[in-house]
Amino acid sequence: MPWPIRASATTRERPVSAWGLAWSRFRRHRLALLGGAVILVLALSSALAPWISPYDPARSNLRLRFSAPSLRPPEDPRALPRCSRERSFVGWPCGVHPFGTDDLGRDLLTRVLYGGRVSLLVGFAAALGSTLFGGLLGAAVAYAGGAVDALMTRFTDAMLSIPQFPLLLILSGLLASRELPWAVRLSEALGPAKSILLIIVVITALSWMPAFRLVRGEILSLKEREFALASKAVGASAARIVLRHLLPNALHVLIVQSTLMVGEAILIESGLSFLGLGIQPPAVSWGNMLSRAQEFLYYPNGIYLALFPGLFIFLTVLCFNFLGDGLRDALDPRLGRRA
Amino acid sequence: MPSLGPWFLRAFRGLAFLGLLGVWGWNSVFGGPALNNLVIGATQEPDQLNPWEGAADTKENILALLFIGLTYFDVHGNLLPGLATEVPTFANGRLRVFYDEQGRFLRQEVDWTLREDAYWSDGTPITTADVLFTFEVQNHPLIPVTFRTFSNKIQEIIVKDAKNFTIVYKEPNPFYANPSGRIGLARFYDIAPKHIWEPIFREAIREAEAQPEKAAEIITAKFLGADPATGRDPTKVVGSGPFKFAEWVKNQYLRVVRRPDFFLRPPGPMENYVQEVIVRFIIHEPTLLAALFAGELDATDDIALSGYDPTILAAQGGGMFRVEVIPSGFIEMLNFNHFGHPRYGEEGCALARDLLLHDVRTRQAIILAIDREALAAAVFPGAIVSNSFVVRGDVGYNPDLIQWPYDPERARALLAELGWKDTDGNGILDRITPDGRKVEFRLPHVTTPAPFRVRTQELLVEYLAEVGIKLEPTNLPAAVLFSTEFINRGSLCTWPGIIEYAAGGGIGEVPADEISGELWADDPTTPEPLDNVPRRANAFAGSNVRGWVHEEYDRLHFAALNEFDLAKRAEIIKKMQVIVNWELPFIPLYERVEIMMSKVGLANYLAGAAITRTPFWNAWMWGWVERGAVRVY
Amino acid sequence: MLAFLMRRLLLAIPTLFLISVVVYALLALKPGDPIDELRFGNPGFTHADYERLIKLYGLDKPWYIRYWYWLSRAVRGDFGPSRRYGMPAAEFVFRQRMPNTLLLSGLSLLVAFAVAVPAGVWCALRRHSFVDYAVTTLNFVGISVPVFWLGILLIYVFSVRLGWLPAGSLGTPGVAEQGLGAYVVDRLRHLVLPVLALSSIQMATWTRFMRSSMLEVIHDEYIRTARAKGLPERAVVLKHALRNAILPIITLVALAIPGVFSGAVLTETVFNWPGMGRAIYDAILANDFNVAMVALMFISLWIILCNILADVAYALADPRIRYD
Repeated sequence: MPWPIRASATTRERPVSAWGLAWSRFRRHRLALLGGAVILVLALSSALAPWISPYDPARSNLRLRFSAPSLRPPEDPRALPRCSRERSFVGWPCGVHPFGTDDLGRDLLTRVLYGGRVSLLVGFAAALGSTLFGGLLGAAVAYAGGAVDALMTRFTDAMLSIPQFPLLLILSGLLASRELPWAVRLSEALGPAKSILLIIVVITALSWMPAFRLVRGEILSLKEREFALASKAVGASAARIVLRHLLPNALHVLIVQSTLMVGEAILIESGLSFLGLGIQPPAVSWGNMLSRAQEFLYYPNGIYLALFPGLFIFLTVLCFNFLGDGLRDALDPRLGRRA
Repeated sequence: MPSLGPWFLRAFRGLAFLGLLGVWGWNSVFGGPALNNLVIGATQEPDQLNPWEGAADTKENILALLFIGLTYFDVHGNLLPGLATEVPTFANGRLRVFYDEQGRFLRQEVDWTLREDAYWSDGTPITTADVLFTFEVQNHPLIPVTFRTFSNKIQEIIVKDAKNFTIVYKEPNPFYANPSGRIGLARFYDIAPKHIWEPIFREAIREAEAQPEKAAEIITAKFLGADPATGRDPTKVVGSGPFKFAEWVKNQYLRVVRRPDFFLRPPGPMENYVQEVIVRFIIHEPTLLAALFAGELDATDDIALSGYDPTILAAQGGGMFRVEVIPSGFIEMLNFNHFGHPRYGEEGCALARDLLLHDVRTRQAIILAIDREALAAAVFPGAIVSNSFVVRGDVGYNPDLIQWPYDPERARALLAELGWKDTDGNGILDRITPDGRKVEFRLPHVTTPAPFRVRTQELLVEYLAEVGIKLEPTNLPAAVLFSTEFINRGSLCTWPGIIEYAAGGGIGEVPADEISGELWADDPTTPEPLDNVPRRANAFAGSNVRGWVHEEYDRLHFAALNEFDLAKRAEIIKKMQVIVNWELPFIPLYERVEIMMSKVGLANYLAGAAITRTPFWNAWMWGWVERGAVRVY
Repeated sequence: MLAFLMRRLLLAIPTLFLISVVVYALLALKPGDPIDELRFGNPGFTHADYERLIKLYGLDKPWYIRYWYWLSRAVRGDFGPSRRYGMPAAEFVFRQRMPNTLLLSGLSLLVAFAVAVPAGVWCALRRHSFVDYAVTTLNFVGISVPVFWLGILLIYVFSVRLGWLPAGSLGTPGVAEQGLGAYVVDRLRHLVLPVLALSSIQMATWTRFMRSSMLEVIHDEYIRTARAKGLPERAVVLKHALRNAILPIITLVALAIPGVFSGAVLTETVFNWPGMGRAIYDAILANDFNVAMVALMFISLWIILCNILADVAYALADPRIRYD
């Protein structure tokens, strides 16, 4: 595959970069565009939650527990919530609970937005972390070859052969330890953000292997190609060859891999939260909102507590799958259209 | 490709049809009055049914179906004879306490007589040989029995004949007749069948003694593991109670059948009462609720629905269920770290000292800053605010205590009096310590991740923020929180601020309940100071984990422990509550409630009086009204 | 081929050893020990009791010494007792939990396969039809739903609101006494919802895969030749296309087999199904190390074997691939 390639042109003979070609393929993938747009909206509204919502996500209102989704403020004036601002700049007015309220009378939409911050952060960070770690390691190992390559490949095989979920459990238990001095010091330094970082580390530690394998495989095949040999011939250093030439060529695989990984990480976080090992309160995530909601399934309006965070997880993961699919088609035409 | 359509359509239709068949197939009834049995839902399952050891509540419930002790509590908290012919008292001459000329305790003797008609479920009579054997196992050094508080008080057991024996105590035990282990024979239900357990016990001990380096494993495998209930031969599971073991499908259910030869009888013919009890174990609470509302369960035990809103459960039950809400005997409380007190010096916890938690005004300010009424209603529906360490309705309960109403103004005033001021305007109080450091009032709060406790933390953060205290909540699994490495090391600042948990607060058992036992610091009769306060000096042993010390309280505590007259004991306990009510070594939040659901036609299924409030205390009376069972309660 | 097989099988031994070290070390370094459970809920438990029991169970020794003890017995097939259940750990795992898991996960796999293959073929043959779009959308839904959330909703709708199916557990207690027919129907009714929840992901992935695999095959030369020869359409699709399209799926199935043994802790928890996933989870939480070790090692072994199996299947399916 020539890189960059020339598009067999129409009127003007203009070189089109591989990325430009990929983008034009991507644009035709309507579901992927939709997915990307929804993710953008979700990420922005989560990030801007304090400016969108008129409420403090932690502020309880015991007079208005389990209220139904409604666009009207409560009838009882004593049940009016306290707001941090009267009207937010794109949000909804104080006193209105579009998704209803939770077991302590907190605004559910506000908590979903704040939960999105944590869930998306976990998703992006874990995806980025595992792809970077796995990818760089894979590139280094593939380039080094020999005993290092053999050993690391064996270790990766072992890691892939241990069932993942139990290992996640053990690892999150290990890192939450209060008996290991370094774990205690770490948790004191981090404060409430501790459980968030913990989940990111745990998911990363157990999901770098696919990126490692992909990049290693890709680079092993590219390594034999002419331009790598050419770079070597002109005396480029090993690190330079890997970073400047080989890795960019493996990039498209990694992009697809990490896009799909974001959704995967969000699902793993919700699963761990379901078992009580995920993000710990007072931090809010979609996973721990969902796990807490189970208790109230049979309360009047309690089903909304499970419905909304669940729908947001579902929607987000769905969009990342659409996006990943579109990216695969766009970046890797050899695979053909799968969907 | 038109020919393909019908082929695949047929396959799909077939699948859909099979699915529908599965959905609407047989929907027969397998429980309730139709079969005269009772299906109870539980969220916890015992590991095994070995009557000597294991974690408490859920095992106690199952064992209550299979065993009965020498005595039992009725629903009003009266002691009634079980395996014994009568409950020993001074009046009937079966209880004797001896003192020397100076009034010092010498010994206590209690005479028991076993019922003539008491038989094991395999027909073997229950005799004093069983009593002696049970006591031998309970005290054997190789058997990992951990609850020896009361058996250690026994000096000897004198056997007169097959049915009569006398327990001699070397320390006073006013709870000599109290079920659940306080008699001192075994932790769960006083007497175990010798003819079943002796061969197992002797064999395990012989092997363990032969290989001392593997003793623990051998005892685990051969003694705990040889528990007949977990074995495959149900005839080997032998008990003294109203039901007989039938089968146990692990992680699913345990089934027991009625014993026609049991000596306690419900009114009318026994056939009118439940013939079979099935306890279904459904670990995940929402699934248990689903099974309940789907009509698969007839009742729930005393643990499963803890913390749920009873009015909502009743509404969801749609008139099919009766919802019982009863005070649980447990008080949920915020315990302070008192190791900042100058008495501990450098051995204490510096952070607690900075926060002045050892000063009574700090603790009073915090209780005044919390709207406990609103909190209890939101986090534990049905719970009642408490100001004591004894629950309402107990003989020792003192109603004339300070109520500590919600009063943030007074709280702020008290904190200002202690030198707390928000000098930097960040909303958190600060003060300058005597050694010139500036400290902020950041108060760590740690508890288990139980949903109602997480809700409590979230509300406490808000209440305390109003008076300028920043509460910093964390959660730890129960196994970590209650481990001696954690809870007993408050002096090392493992929990430098508040630790929240619940402890038993009475109902017929004062003052040997957990809270009063946690509060005493020093036994005046021993030379060592602060015996009960876990510190480095005593290798962190003792149950006064807070480090609160009050001489007058200790004096009263020991006076109550040695007082055999219930009325006099109650008076002493009322005085103890006055001290605790002012000093607030902990903040009592609320008395928890137990919530149990049972189908409307089920008779005599209700909470008992023992501290766990288990409904399993009178299983022989359970029955369906439509099958002719008579409601006694 | 044989040499390749031998080499892979030999390489599995050091891999297994590495896994056992990693897992044992992680378990041992995790906070908490088997004494916690004894201590918890026993008000009379003193520090002296704790020290005594720690010594008694050998927990005062460092983890690598304990690992050595474990390993030297494990190679002889003795995986030690389960402290919690008072029986040999292997017996607990293989006799009590494995059959339940085989039933649930095995059935889910079968159902997923049985649905995915016809659905994928159907979509490939009727590309861009309404059904194709509907199934494709459903596939995306299937891989995007948190499985426990799906389980909870299924129970909520079908057990509580509609009352059609039981809310979890293996079966109704005592139903065996009502005769074989009632027993079988009762067990099947209890299987419907968990199988539905558990098979959703695989069903979705495999349908997608089957569809694209079928699309590739159907445009191949030999299919066109077969059609040109005038063979009936049904024979073309079933005999030629399907046979070739299904091979890649077989590889996927092989890779999914270990999941049949490891169970699914989330689904099992929601449906109160006592399987391997829950057993491992409980063992880790309760520090019942022997149970966790024997279960995890067994599953790891299966993962390795199935990986080899997948490679072999792949090679057999595609004569262009050669291992040497």
